[in-house]
Amino acid sequence: MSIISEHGFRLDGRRPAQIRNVNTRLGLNRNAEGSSYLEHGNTKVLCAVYGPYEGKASKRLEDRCAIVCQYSTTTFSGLERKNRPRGDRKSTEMSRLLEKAFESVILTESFPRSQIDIFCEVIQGDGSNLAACVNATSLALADAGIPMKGIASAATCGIVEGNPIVDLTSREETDLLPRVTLATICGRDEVVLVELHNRLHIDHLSVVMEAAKATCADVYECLAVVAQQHLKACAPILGN
Amino acid sequence: MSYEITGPPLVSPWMMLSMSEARNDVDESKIVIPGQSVCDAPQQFMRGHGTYIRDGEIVSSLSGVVQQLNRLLMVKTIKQRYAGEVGDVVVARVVEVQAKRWKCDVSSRLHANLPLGSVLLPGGDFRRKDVEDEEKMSEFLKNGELICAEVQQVQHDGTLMLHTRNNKYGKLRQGITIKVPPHLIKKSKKHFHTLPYGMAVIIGCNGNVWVTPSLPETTLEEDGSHIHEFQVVPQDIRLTMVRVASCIRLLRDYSISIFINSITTAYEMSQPYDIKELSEQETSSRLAYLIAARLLQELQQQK
Repeated sequence: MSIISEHGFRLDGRRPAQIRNVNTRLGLNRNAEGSSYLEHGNTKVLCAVYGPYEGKASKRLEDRCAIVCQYSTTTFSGLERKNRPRGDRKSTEMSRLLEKAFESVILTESFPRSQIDIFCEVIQGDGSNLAACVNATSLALADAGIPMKGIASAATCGIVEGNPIVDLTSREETDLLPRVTLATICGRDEVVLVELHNRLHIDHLSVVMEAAKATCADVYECLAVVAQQHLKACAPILGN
Repeated sequence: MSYEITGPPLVSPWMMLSMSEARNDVDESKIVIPGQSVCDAPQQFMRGHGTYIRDGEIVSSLSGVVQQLNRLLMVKTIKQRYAGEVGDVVVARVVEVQAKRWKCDVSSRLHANLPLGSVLLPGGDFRRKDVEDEEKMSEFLKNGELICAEVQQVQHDGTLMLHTRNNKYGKLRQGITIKVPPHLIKKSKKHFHTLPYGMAVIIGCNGNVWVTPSLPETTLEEDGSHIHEFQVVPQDIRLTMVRVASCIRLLRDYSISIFINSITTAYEMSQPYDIKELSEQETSSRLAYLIAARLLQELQQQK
Protein backbone atom coordinates (compact mmCIF):
# COMPACT_ATOMS: atom_id res chain seq x y z
CA MET A 1 0.00 0.00 0.00
CA SER A 2 1.50 3.30 -1.04
CA ILE A 3 1.53 6.27 1.27
CA ILE A 4 0.41 8.72 -1.37
CA SER A 5 -2.27 7.46 -3.74
CA GLU A 6 -2.15 8.01 -7.47
CA HIS A 7 -4.55 10.93 -7.04
CA GLY A 8 -2.22 12.63 -4.57
CA PHE A 9 -4.06 11.80 -1.35
CA ARG A 10 -2.69 10.18 1.77
CA LEU A 11 -4.21 7.29 3.75
CA ASP A 12 -6.39 9.58 5.84
CA GLY A 13 -7.43 11.71 2.88
CA ARG A 14 -5.05 14.59 3.42
CA ARG A 15 -2.86 16.29 0.85
CA PRO A 16 0.91 15.81 1.39
CA ALA A 17 1.43 19.30 2.84
CA GLN A 18 -1.73 19.40 4.91
CA ILE A 19 -1.67 19.24 8.71
CA ARG A 20 -4.30 17.53 10.81
CA ASN A 21 -6.88 19.42 12.83
CA VAL A 22 -5.36 21.16 15.81
CA ASN A 23 -7.61 21.31 18.82
CA THR A 24 -6.62 22.76 22.17
CA ARG A 25 -7.77 23.60 25.68
CA LEU A 26 -5.75 25.62 28.13
CA GLY A 27 -5.68 26.01 31.88
CA LEU A 28 -7.55 22.81 32.64
CA ASN A 29 -5.37 21.68 35.51
CA ARG A 30 -5.91 24.31 38.11
CA ASN A 31 -3.27 22.93 40.45
CA ALA A 32 -0.49 23.42 37.94
CA GLU A 33 0.87 26.86 37.05
CA GLY A 34 0.14 26.16 33.44
CA SER A 35 -1.54 23.31 31.63
CA SER A 36 -2.76 22.40 28.20
CA TYR A 37 -4.54 19.71 26.26
CA LEU A 38 -3.72 19.42 22.59
CA GLU A 39 -4.97 17.28 19.73
CA HIS A 40 -3.32 16.81 16.37
CA GLY A 41 -5.98 14.72 14.69
CA ASN A 42 -6.09 11.60 16.82
CA THR A 43 -2.88 12.33 18.72
CA LYS A 44 -3.97 13.63 22.10
CA VAL A 45 -1.58 15.03 24.66
CA LEU A 46 -1.96 16.49 28.14
CA CYS A 47 0.73 18.75 29.55
CA ALA A 48 1.20 20.38 32.94
CA VAL A 49 3.89 22.84 34.00
CA TYR A 50 4.84 23.39 37.64
CA GLY A 51 7.15 26.12 38.80
CA PRO A 52 9.51 27.86 38.84
CA TYR A 53 9.89 26.68 42.40
CA GLU A 54 12.77 25.82 44.71
CA GLY A 55 13.35 22.26 43.62
CA LYS A 56 15.74 19.56 44.65
CA ALA A 57 19.14 20.70 45.84
CA SER A 58 20.79 18.11 43.58
CA LYS A 59 19.22 19.66 40.48
CA ARG A 60 19.90 23.25 41.48
CA LEU A 61 21.95 25.46 39.15
CA GLU A 62 23.41 28.71 40.40
CA ASP A 63 23.06 30.72 37.21
CA ARG A 64 19.80 29.51 35.68
CA CYS A 65 16.80 27.34 36.37
CA ALA A 66 16.74 23.60 35.89
CA ILE A 67 14.14 22.11 33.59
CA VAL A 68 12.88 18.66 34.38
CA CYS A 69 10.67 16.96 31.89
CA GLN A 70 8.73 13.76 32.03
CA TYR A 71 7.27 12.20 28.93
CA SER A 72 4.87 9.37 29.46
CA THR A 73 2.33 7.48 27.43
CA THR A 74 -0.80 5.92 28.79
CA THR A 75 -0.91 2.13 28.63
CA PHE A 76 -3.70 2.34 26.07
CA SER A 77 -2.19 5.02 23.85
CA GLY A 78 -0.73 2.83 21.12
CA LEU A 79 -1.62 -0.21 19.07
CA GLU A 80 -0.23 -2.56 21.67
CA ARG A 81 -0.91 -2.26 25.35
CA LYS A 82 2.16 -0.97 27.13
CA ASN A 83 3.12 -2.11 30.57
CA ARG A 84 5.55 0.69 31.31
CA PRO A 85 4.02 4.09 30.72
CA ARG A 86 7.27 5.87 31.59
CA GLY A 87 10.87 5.19 32.40
CA ASP A 88 11.62 2.97 29.43
CA ARG A 89 14.33 3.93 26.96
CA LYS A 90 12.07 5.52 24.42
CA SER A 91 10.23 7.72 26.93
CA THR A 92 13.46 8.73 28.62
CA GLU A 93 14.88 9.77 25.26
CA MET A 94 11.77 11.82 24.53
CA SER A 95 12.01 13.46 27.97
CA ARG A 96 15.64 14.45 27.39
CA LEU A 97 14.84 15.83 23.94
CA LEU A 98 12.04 17.97 25.35
CA GLU A 99 14.26 19.16 28.19
CA LYS A 100 17.03 20.21 25.82
CA ALA A 101 14.61 21.92 23.47
CA PHE A 102 12.90 23.94 26.18
CA GLU A 103 16.16 24.88 27.87
CA SER A 104 16.84 27.00 24.82
CA VAL A 105 13.28 28.31 24.57
CA ILE A 106 12.78 29.39 28.18
CA LEU A 107 14.85 32.34 29.42
CA THR A 108 16.31 30.18 32.15
CA GLU A 109 18.76 32.78 33.44
CA SER A 110 15.89 34.82 34.89
CA PHE A 111 15.23 32.17 37.56
CA PRO A 112 18.54 31.14 39.11
CA ARG A 113 18.41 28.25 41.61
CA SER A 114 14.86 27.33 40.64
CA GLN A 115 13.30 24.42 38.85
CA ILE A 116 10.52 24.06 36.32
CA ASP A 117 8.77 20.72 35.96
CA ILE A 118 7.09 19.75 32.72
CA PHE A 119 4.86 16.70 32.52
CA CYS A 120 3.63 15.44 29.15
CA GLU A 121 1.28 12.54 28.83
CA VAL A 122 0.24 11.03 25.52
CA ILE A 123 -3.34 9.91 25.95
CA GLN A 124 -3.73 8.66 22.42
CA GLY A 125 -0.73 8.29 20.15
CA ASP A 126 -1.34 8.54 16.44
CA GLY A 127 2.00 9.71 15.14
CA SER A 128 4.02 12.90 15.65
CA ASN A 129 3.94 12.35 19.42
CA LEU A 130 7.08 14.33 20.11
CA ALA A 131 5.91 17.25 18.00
CA ALA A 132 2.55 17.23 19.78
CA CYS A 133 4.33 17.25 23.14
CA VAL A 134 6.46 20.24 22.14
CA ASN A 135 3.37 22.13 21.04
CA ALA A 136 1.42 21.24 24.18
CA THR A 137 4.35 22.25 26.40
CA SER A 138 4.71 25.59 24.61
CA LEU A 139 1.09 26.38 25.32
CA ALA A 140 1.33 25.27 28.94
CA LEU A 141 4.41 27.45 29.44
CA ALA A 142 2.64 30.42 27.90
CA ASP A 143 -0.28 29.76 30.23
CA ALA A 144 2.10 29.64 33.20
CA GLY A 145 3.52 33.07 32.34
CA ILE A 146 7.09 31.81 32.11
CA PRO A 147 9.44 34.06 30.11
CA MET A 148 10.39 32.53 26.78
CA LYS A 149 11.96 33.62 23.53
CA GLY A 150 8.69 32.74 21.90
CA ILE A 151 6.18 29.97 21.47
CA ALA A 152 7.91 26.90 20.05
CA SER A 153 6.05 24.85 17.50
CA ALA A 154 7.03 21.49 16.09
CA ALA A 155 6.12 19.18 13.25
CA THR A 156 7.13 15.77 11.98
CA CYS A 157 7.75 15.38 8.27
CA GLY A 158 8.62 12.44 6.10
CA ILE A 159 9.65 12.02 2.50
CA VAL A 160 8.23 9.61 -0.07
CA GLU A 161 9.95 9.39 -3.45
CA GLY A 162 11.29 12.90 -3.11
CA ASN A 163 7.95 14.39 -2.06
CA PRO A 164 7.66 15.64 1.51
CA ILE A 165 4.62 14.70 3.58
CA VAL A 166 3.90 16.56 6.80
CA ASP A 167 2.37 15.76 10.19
CA LEU A 168 2.68 11.99 10.00
CA THR A 169 0.18 9.61 11.50
CA SER A 170 1.23 6.35 13.16
CA ARG A 171 0.40 4.40 9.99
CA GLU A 172 2.82 6.57 8.09
CA GLU A 173 5.55 6.32 10.73
CA THR A 174 6.95 3.09 9.32
CA ASP A 175 10.44 1.72 9.60
CA LEU A 176 11.23 2.55 6.00
CA LEU A 177 10.04 6.11 5.77
CA PRO A 178 12.62 8.64 6.92
CA ARG A 179 11.09 11.23 9.19
CA VAL A 180 12.34 14.44 10.73
CA THR A 181 10.88 16.18 13.78
CA LEU A 182 11.71 19.86 13.80
CA ALA A 183 10.83 22.55 16.33
CA THR A 184 11.27 26.25 15.73
CA ILE A 185 10.53 29.37 17.74
CA CYS A 186 7.62 31.51 16.56
CA GLY A 187 7.60 29.71 13.22
CA ARG A 188 10.79 31.54 12.28
CA ASP A 189 14.26 30.27 11.48
CA GLU A 190 15.48 29.57 15.00
CA VAL A 191 15.57 25.80 15.42
CA VAL A 192 15.42 24.28 18.92
CA LEU A 193 15.01 20.60 18.15
CA VAL A 194 15.79 18.26 15.24
CA GLU A 195 15.42 14.53 15.31
CA LEU A 196 15.82 12.08 12.48
CA HIS A 197 14.46 8.55 12.30
CA ASN A 198 15.65 6.03 9.72
CA ARG A 199 18.04 6.78 6.90
CA LEU A 200 17.59 9.80 4.73
CA HIS A 201 19.30 10.56 1.44
CA ILE A 202 21.33 13.75 1.67
CA ASP A 203 19.62 15.23 -1.37
CA HIS A 204 16.30 14.94 0.44
CA LEU A 205 17.49 16.66 3.59
CA SER A 206 16.91 20.25 2.49
CA VAL A 207 13.53 19.33 1.00
CA VAL A 208 12.34 17.76 4.25
CA MET A 209 13.70 20.58 6.36
CA GLU A 210 12.00 23.22 4.25
CA ALA A 211 8.70 21.35 4.45
CA ALA A 212 9.09 20.90 8.21
CA LYS A 213 9.88 24.57 8.71
CA ALA A 214 6.84 25.63 6.74
CA THR A 215 4.69 23.24 8.78
CA CYS A 216 6.10 24.61 12.02
CA ALA A 217 5.04 28.08 10.89
CA ASP A 218 1.54 26.77 10.13
CA VAL A 219 1.27 25.11 13.53
CA TYR A 220 2.58 28.26 15.20
CA GLU A 221 -0.28 30.27 13.72
CA CYS A 222 -2.75 27.87 15.34
CA LEU A 223 -1.00 27.95 18.72
CA ALA A 224 -0.62 31.74 18.76
CA VAL A 225 -4.34 32.30 18.25
CA VAL A 226 -5.26 29.89 21.03
CA ALA A 227 -2.73 31.32 23.49
CA GLN A 228 -3.92 34.86 22.91
CA GLN A 229 -7.59 33.98 23.31
CA HIS A 230 -6.87 32.11 26.50
CA LEU A 231 -4.94 34.99 28.02
CA LYS A 232 -7.95 37.22 27.83
CA ALA A 233 -10.05 34.68 29.70
CA CYS A 234 -7.32 34.40 32.35
CA ALA A 235 -7.34 38.01 33.45
CA PRO A 236 -9.06 38.27 36.82
CA ILE A 237 -12.41 40.00 36.83
CA LEU A 238 -11.91 43.40 38.50
CA GLY A 239 -8.18 42.90 38.41
CA ASN A 240 -5.97 45.77 39.39
CA MET B 1 -15.34 -2.74 19.77
CA SER B 2 -13.83 0.67 19.35
CA TYR B 3 -13.53 3.46 21.81
CA GLU B 4 -13.14 7.10 21.15
CA ILE B 5 -11.30 9.22 23.66
CA THR B 6 -12.83 12.64 23.70
CA GLY B 7 -11.20 15.76 25.06
CA PRO B 8 -12.37 18.05 27.80
CA PRO B 9 -15.34 20.37 27.19
CA LEU B 10 -14.84 23.17 24.69
CA VAL B 11 -15.30 25.86 27.29
CA SER B 12 -14.61 25.16 30.95
CA PRO B 13 -17.26 26.58 33.26
CA TRP B 14 -14.83 29.06 34.77
CA MET B 15 -14.04 30.43 31.34
CA MET B 16 -17.66 31.06 30.51
CA LEU B 17 -17.80 33.99 32.85
CA SER B 18 -14.51 35.45 31.70
CA MET B 19 -15.56 35.19 28.08
CA SER B 20 -19.00 36.72 28.54
CA GLU B 21 -19.87 40.29 27.57
CA ALA B 22 -19.24 41.33 31.16
CA ARG B 23 -15.59 41.37 30.13
CA ASN B 24 -14.95 44.72 28.57
CA ASP B 25 -12.16 45.70 30.92
CA VAL B 26 -9.48 43.83 28.95
CA ASP B 27 -8.02 45.57 25.93
CA GLU B 28 -7.39 42.74 23.51
CA SER B 29 -4.93 44.67 21.39
CA LYS B 30 -2.61 45.02 24.39
CA ILE B 31 -2.45 41.30 25.10
CA VAL B 32 0.75 39.72 23.84
CA ILE B 33 2.18 36.22 23.80
CA PRO B 34 5.88 35.33 24.01
CA GLY B 35 7.69 36.15 20.79
CA GLN B 36 5.14 38.70 19.65
CA SER B 37 6.26 42.16 18.67
CA VAL B 38 5.31 44.81 21.23
CA CYS B 39 5.41 47.96 19.13
CA ASP B 40 5.59 49.14 15.56
CA ALA B 41 8.27 51.77 15.95
CA PRO B 42 11.08 50.25 18.04
CA GLN B 43 13.41 53.24 17.63
CA GLN B 44 11.12 55.45 19.68
CA PHE B 45 10.89 53.17 22.70
CA MET B 46 13.06 51.62 25.36
CA ARG B 47 12.60 48.01 26.32
CA GLY B 48 11.47 47.26 29.86
CA HIS B 49 10.64 44.15 31.87
CA GLY B 50 9.33 41.17 29.96
CA THR B 51 10.75 42.20 26.61
CA TYR B 52 13.86 41.49 24.59
CA ILE B 53 15.29 42.63 21.28
CA ARG B 54 15.17 40.40 18.21
CA ASP B 55 16.39 41.76 14.91
CA GLY B 56 16.11 45.33 16.14
CA GLU B 57 12.51 44.81 17.17
CA ILE B 58 11.10 44.90 20.71
CA VAL B 59 9.53 41.51 21.39
CA SER B 60 7.62 40.24 24.40
CA SER B 61 9.09 37.35 26.36
CA LEU B 62 6.00 36.93 28.51
CA SER B 63 2.33 36.29 28.02
CA GLY B 64 0.60 39.32 29.41
CA VAL B 65 -0.42 42.91 28.89
CA VAL B 66 1.74 45.65 27.36
CA GLN B 67 2.21 48.68 29.56
CA GLN B 68 3.74 51.95 28.56
CA LEU B 69 5.44 54.44 30.82
CA ASN B 70 6.56 57.46 28.79
CA ARG B 71 9.04 55.84 26.40
CA LEU B 72 9.42 52.61 28.34
CA LEU B 73 7.58 49.53 27.14
CA MET B 74 7.08 46.61 29.44
CA VAL B 75 4.97 43.49 29.63
CA LYS B 76 3.18 42.52 32.81
CA THR B 77 2.13 38.89 33.15
CA ILE B 78 -1.46 38.07 33.85
CA LYS B 79 -0.78 34.75 35.51
CA GLN B 80 2.41 34.10 37.39
CA ARG B 81 3.87 32.74 40.58
CA TYR B 82 4.04 35.04 43.56
CA ALA B 83 6.70 37.74 43.32
CA GLY B 84 7.03 39.35 46.71
CA GLU B 85 7.16 43.02 47.50
CA VAL B 86 8.24 44.69 50.72
CA GLY B 87 5.30 45.13 53.08
CA ASP B 88 3.21 42.26 51.71
CA VAL B 89 1.34 40.14 54.23
CA VAL B 90 1.93 36.48 53.46
CA VAL B 91 0.58 33.23 54.83
CA ALA B 92 3.51 30.84 54.66
CA ARG B 93 4.25 27.26 55.59
CA VAL B 94 7.45 26.30 57.42
CA VAL B 95 9.32 23.69 55.39
CA GLU B 96 12.70 23.55 57.06
CA VAL B 97 14.33 24.55 60.32
CA GLN B 98 17.91 25.63 59.70
CA ALA B 99 20.57 27.27 61.81
CA LYS B 100 19.19 30.63 62.93
CA ARG B 101 16.40 30.68 60.38
CA TRP B 102 13.30 28.97 59.14
CA LYS B 103 12.69 28.26 55.48
CA CYS B 104 9.10 28.97 54.49
CA ASP B 105 7.14 28.07 51.42
CA VAL B 106 5.36 31.19 50.17
CA SER B 107 4.58 29.71 46.72
CA SER B 108 7.22 31.99 45.32
CA ARG B 109 9.98 30.72 43.08
CA LEU B 110 12.37 30.37 46.02
CA HIS B 111 11.66 29.61 49.65
CA ALA B 112 11.47 32.62 51.96
CA ASN B 113 13.71 33.04 55.00
CA LEU B 114 12.44 33.84 58.44
CA PRO B 115 15.53 34.64 60.53
CA LEU B 116 15.46 33.88 64.23
CA GLY B 117 16.21 37.56 64.84
CA SER B 118 13.00 38.59 63.10
CA VAL B 119 10.52 36.75 65.28
CA LEU B 120 8.86 38.05 68.37
CA LEU B 121 10.23 36.44 71.49
CA PRO B 122 9.32 37.36 75.08
CA GLY B 123 11.36 40.24 76.35
CA GLY B 124 10.60 42.62 73.56
CA ASP B 125 12.70 43.88 70.67
CA PHE B 126 15.84 44.25 72.74
CA ARG B 127 16.07 40.63 73.75
CA ARG B 128 19.23 39.03 72.43
CA LYS B 129 18.79 35.77 70.62
CA ASP B 130 21.25 33.33 72.14
CA VAL B 131 22.25 29.72 71.65
CA GLU B 132 19.44 28.59 73.88
CA ASP B 133 16.90 30.23 71.61
CA GLU B 134 18.53 28.58 68.64
CA GLU B 135 18.16 25.18 70.23
CA LYS B 136 14.50 25.81 70.88
CA MET B 137 13.73 26.87 67.33
CA SER B 138 12.02 23.65 66.35
CA GLU B 139 9.85 23.91 69.44
CA PHE B 140 8.83 27.39 68.47
CA LEU B 141 7.92 26.61 64.86
CA LYS B 142 7.91 23.10 63.45
CA ASN B 143 7.96 21.88 59.89
CA GLY B 144 4.56 22.09 58.30
CA GLU B 145 3.23 24.80 60.55
CA LEU B 146 1.51 27.78 59.07
CA ILE B 147 2.58 31.31 59.87
CA CYS B 148 1.49 34.76 58.97
CA ALA B 149 4.33 37.19 58.30
CA GLU B 150 5.30 40.36 56.53
CA VAL B 151 7.88 40.69 53.78
CA GLN B 152 10.71 42.77 55.16
CA GLN B 153 13.17 42.62 52.33
CA VAL B 154 13.55 41.21 48.85
CA GLN B 155 17.11 40.09 48.22
CA HIS B 156 18.83 40.52 44.90
CA ASP B 157 18.29 36.88 43.94
CA GLY B 158 14.58 37.13 44.69
CA THR B 159 14.59 35.44 48.10
CA LEU B 160 12.14 37.01 50.51
CA MET B 161 13.08 37.87 54.07
CA LEU B 162 10.11 37.68 56.38
CA HIS B 163 9.51 39.04 59.84
CA THR B 164 6.85 38.47 62.48
CA ARG B 165 7.82 41.34 64.78
CA ASN B 166 4.26 42.26 65.63
CA ASN B 167 1.55 40.65 67.71
CA LYS B 168 -0.70 40.22 64.72
CA TYR B 169 1.85 38.02 62.92
CA GLY B 170 3.01 34.62 64.04
CA LYS B 171 1.77 31.07 64.14
CA LEU B 172 -1.69 30.29 62.81
CA ARG B 173 -3.56 27.51 64.55
CA GLN B 174 -7.28 27.04 64.12
CA GLY B 175 -8.71 27.71 60.71
CA ILE B 176 -8.97 26.81 57.03
CA THR B 177 -6.41 27.62 54.34
CA ILE B 178 -7.48 28.12 50.77
CA LYS B 179 -4.87 28.24 48.05
CA VAL B 180 -5.72 30.58 45.22
CA PRO B 181 -3.55 31.75 42.33
CA PRO B 182 -1.65 34.83 43.59
CA HIS B 183 -2.70 36.95 40.61
CA LEU B 184 -6.28 36.87 41.87
CA ILE B 185 -5.40 38.60 45.14
CA LYS B 186 -6.07 42.29 44.97
CA LYS B 187 -3.64 44.22 47.10
CA SER B 188 -5.08 46.63 49.62
CA LYS B 189 -4.01 48.51 52.70
CA LYS B 190 -5.55 45.94 54.98
CA HIS B 191 -5.14 42.21 54.74
CA PHE B 192 -6.47 41.28 58.17
CA HIS B 193 -10.21 41.49 58.33
CA THR B 194 -12.64 40.68 61.10
CA LEU B 195 -15.93 39.95 59.41
CA PRO B 196 -19.24 40.79 61.06
CA TYR B 197 -20.23 37.11 60.98
CA GLY B 198 -18.12 36.24 64.02
CA MET B 199 -14.99 35.18 62.19
CA ALA B 200 -11.94 36.63 60.45
CA VAL B 201 -9.88 36.21 57.29
CA ILE B 202 -6.27 36.90 56.45
CA ILE B 203 -5.77 37.43 52.74
CA GLY B 204 -2.14 36.54 52.12
CA CYS B 205 -0.64 38.30 49.11
CA ASN B 206 1.00 35.01 48.11
CA GLY B 207 -2.36 33.42 47.42
CA ASN B 208 -3.01 31.69 50.72
CA VAL B 209 -6.23 32.81 52.35
CA TRP B 210 -6.71 31.93 56.00
CA VAL B 211 -10.22 31.67 57.40
CA THR B 212 -10.24 31.61 61.18
CA PRO B 213 -12.62 32.15 64.11
CA SER B 214 -10.62 35.13 65.35
CA LEU B 215 -7.49 36.99 64.30
CA PRO B 216 -4.35 35.59 65.90
CA GLU B 217 -2.71 37.51 68.62
CA THR B 218 0.59 36.00 69.53
CA THR B 219 0.93 35.66 73.26
CA LEU B 220 4.02 33.92 74.53
CA GLU B 221 4.94 32.18 77.71
CA GLU B 222 7.95 33.32 79.68
CA ASP B 223 10.08 30.53 78.21
CA GLY B 224 9.30 31.56 74.67
CA SER B 225 6.92 28.80 73.70
CA HIS B 226 3.51 29.52 72.28
CA ILE B 227 0.55 29.30 74.56
CA HIS B 228 -1.61 26.48 73.34
CA GLU B 229 -5.12 27.69 73.44
CA PHE B 230 -7.15 25.40 71.28
CA GLN B 231 -10.74 26.28 71.81
CA VAL B 232 -13.89 24.54 70.81
CA VAL B 233 -15.39 26.63 68.02
CA PRO B 234 -19.18 26.74 68.15
CA GLN B 235 -20.92 25.00 65.29
CA ASP B 236 -22.57 28.10 63.86
CA ILE B 237 -19.17 29.82 63.57
CA ARG B 238 -17.73 26.71 61.97
CA LEU B 239 -20.52 26.69 59.42
CA THR B 240 -19.94 30.37 58.68
CA MET B 241 -16.23 29.67 58.18
CA VAL B 242 -16.97 26.82 55.80
CA ARG B 243 -19.38 29.00 53.87
CA VAL B 244 -16.80 31.78 53.57
CA ALA B 245 -14.21 29.22 52.50
CA SER B 246 -16.56 27.85 49.81
CA CYS B 247 -17.23 31.38 48.64
CA ILE B 248 -13.50 32.04 48.26
CA ARG B 249 -13.11 28.79 46.31
CA LEU B 250 -15.98 29.87 44.09
CA LEU B 251 -14.32 33.23 43.42
CA ARG B 252 -11.10 31.39 42.63
CA ASP B 253 -12.78 28.92 40.28
CA TYR B 254 -14.36 31.71 38.27
CA SER B 255 -11.23 33.92 38.44
CA ILE B 256 -12.83 36.82 40.22
CA SER B 257 -10.42 39.01 42.19
CA ILE B 258 -10.25 38.19 45.87
CA PHE B 259 -10.46 41.10 48.28
CA ILE B 260 -12.66 41.86 51.26
CA ASN B 261 -15.46 43.33 49.21
CA SER B 262 -15.73 40.36 46.86
CA ILE B 263 -15.66 37.93 49.79
CA THR B 264 -18.47 39.66 51.67
CA THR B 265 -20.51 40.10 48.49
CA ALA B 266 -20.10 36.42 47.68
CA TYR B 267 -20.98 35.46 51.24
CA GLU B 268 -24.15 37.52 51.30
CA MET B 269 -25.27 36.43 47.86
CA SER B 270 -24.66 32.78 48.73
CA GLN B 271 -27.18 32.90 51.59
CA PRO B 272 -30.10 31.39 49.64
CA TYR B 273 -28.02 28.28 48.92
CA ASP B 274 -26.79 25.42 51.04
CA ILE B 275 -23.04 25.30 51.57
CA LYS B 276 -22.73 22.04 49.64
CA GLU B 277 -24.58 23.58 46.70
CA LEU B 278 -21.81 26.13 46.28
CA SER B 279 -19.50 23.50 44.88
CA GLU B 280 -22.04 22.26 42.36
CA GLN B 281 -21.48 23.56 38.88
CA GLU B 282 -24.98 24.75 38.12
CA THR B 283 -25.36 26.82 41.28
CA SER B 284 -21.82 28.10 41.33
CA SER B 285 -21.84 29.33 37.73
CA ARG B 286 -25.12 31.20 38.28
CA LEU B 287 -23.90 32.67 41.54
CA ALA B 288 -20.50 33.65 40.10
CA TYR B 289 -22.20 35.50 37.29
CA LEU B 290 -24.37 37.44 39.74
CA ILE B 291 -21.42 38.24 41.98
CA ALA B 292 -19.34 39.49 39.05
CA ALA B 293 -22.22 41.63 37.83
CA ARG B 294 -22.72 43.11 41.29
CA LEU B 295 -19.03 43.87 41.73
CA LEU B 296 -18.76 45.48 38.32
CA GLN B 297 -21.82 47.58 39.08
CA GLU B 298 -20.29 48.74 42.36
CA LEU B 299 -17.10 49.59 40.57
CA GLN B 300 -18.93 51.73 38.07
CA GLN B 301 -20.84 53.53 40.81
CA GLN B 302 -17.57 54.42 42.48
CA LYS B 303 -16.37 56.02 39.30
